[in-house]
Amino acid sequence: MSEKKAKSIFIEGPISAGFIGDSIAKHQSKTDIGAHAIFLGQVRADEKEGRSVTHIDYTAYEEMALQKVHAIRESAFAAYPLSCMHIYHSLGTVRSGEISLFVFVSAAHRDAAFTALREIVEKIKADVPIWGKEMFGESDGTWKVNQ
Amino acid sequence: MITDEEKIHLVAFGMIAELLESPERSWPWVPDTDRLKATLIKAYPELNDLPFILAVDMEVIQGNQLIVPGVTVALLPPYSGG
Repeated sequence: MSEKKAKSIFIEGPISAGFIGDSIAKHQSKTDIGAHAIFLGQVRADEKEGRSVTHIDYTAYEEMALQKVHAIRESAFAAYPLSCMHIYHSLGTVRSGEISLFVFVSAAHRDAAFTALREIVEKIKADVPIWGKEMFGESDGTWKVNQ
Repeated sequence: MITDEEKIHLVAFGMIAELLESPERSWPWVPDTDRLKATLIKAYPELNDLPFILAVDMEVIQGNQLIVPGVTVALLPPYSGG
């Protein structure tokens, strides 16, 4: 890892629609961009044994996660002609219906934006040490398994 | 007496952290990760039934790896971010 400290991706609690909207607005000055692709991960109220998920509690090995996200960013910038990339993930409690993952990729044209976005999201799921515990009310929970 | 130099720093996450009571602690040094897993399973037999991988100083290891005193070893259950 480089000496430069990797930028944090973590947000305590859900990622708000306002935060996402502001992120989009900040790109209006970048007029070389012709395509934005956005992925939003939302907490599902899955039914399990008659109970439904009320919220997910997220934890992470933060230092390692930032290193992994840094590597994912570098590899995506090397592989695709991207103008910019933003990755945010929640920590702590995110209720069902709220957003826990926000990936925002911008490029001159849609092909690079779509392809890079898909690859980045898959790598976040596979390589970044983050865990979600699906909760059914305040104290009862089960560890989430990614599909 | 065991000095700090003869220990490793153990960190655990997710369901493994719940099992180990404390997510972060020091642990007597052993020379490789296979022996470390054996001492952990001896102390916490339930680990035998849980899927997890090890990362040494934040690098996920494949197979057995030598470890030196003072390293950080992380016990990582399957990731479930997103």
